[in-house]
Amino acid sequence: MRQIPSGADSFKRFYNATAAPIRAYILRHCSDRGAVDDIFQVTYLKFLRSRMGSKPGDPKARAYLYRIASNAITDHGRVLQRRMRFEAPMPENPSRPGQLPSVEGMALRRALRTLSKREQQLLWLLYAEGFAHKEVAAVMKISHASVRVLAFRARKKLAQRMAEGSPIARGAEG
Amino acid sequence: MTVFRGSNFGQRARRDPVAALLREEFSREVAAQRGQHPDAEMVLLMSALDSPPGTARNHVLLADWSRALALGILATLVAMWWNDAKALCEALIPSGVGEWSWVIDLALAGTLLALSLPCTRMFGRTT
Repeated sequence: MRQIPSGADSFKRFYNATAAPIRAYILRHCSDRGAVDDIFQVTYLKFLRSRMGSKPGDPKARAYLYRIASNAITDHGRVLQRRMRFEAPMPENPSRPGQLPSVEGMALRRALRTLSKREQQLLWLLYAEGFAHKEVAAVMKISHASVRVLAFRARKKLAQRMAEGSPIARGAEG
Repeated sequence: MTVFRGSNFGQRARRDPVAALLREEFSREVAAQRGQHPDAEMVLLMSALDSPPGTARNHVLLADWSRALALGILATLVAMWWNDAKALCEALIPSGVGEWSWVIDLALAGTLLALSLPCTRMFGRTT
């Protein structure tokens, strides 16, 4: 008879710490909102079947989970692209639940939407998860030096877009 | 750019308002997802049901005690086989058994190793 793993407690701790950030990450980076739950489930099932599944306490486990989630989002994106050749396109950037953001927060949301998926992913890993450049490089499959450059560019672009989109700047234009 | 960790976090955050805004925005998104996901028990159960037989990880199929039991039975069988095989070899080489004893041990150990190599793969996959 199949049993729940003996390391279930450590997995539960790991899951409780990572489930909400991973779901938010998938929701942010996947344009198909209906697929979020499926991608979330696939991510954890793949994690449990992987070599890391038996040692969720490993310091690298969190980055590994993000890598699985990123791959699952990419795979789903490919399937969606193929499907969208025949069907109507999905609405992009669905509204997210939560508290009402400040004026700066709304400007940030608008500016974030103008960044590429890759830049958004990078900023999430750096600022939501607080990963080191080495960990981000492992998740995104790029070099350590590239993380530094891309992060600098993404932040600069974001600050520029925010400045362009701020009410003061728009008022000056008008 | 560095990830803000350590004692000078506040100082750096003041210097970098975009980073502080990003953190605030992302933490709001994470907070909105709390309680929106299934329970950990459910995920574990799904994983146990989803894994095909024979390819599941060892801790899913067998508990620790059953693995120890399996190894104990295997060790007993090997010991019995060793005694019988050595007795047979000694019967086949009646003269100068004392001199040949270590050669028989070596040959048996080699045979055991050769037999165990394919078994380790099988054992690793199915236990």
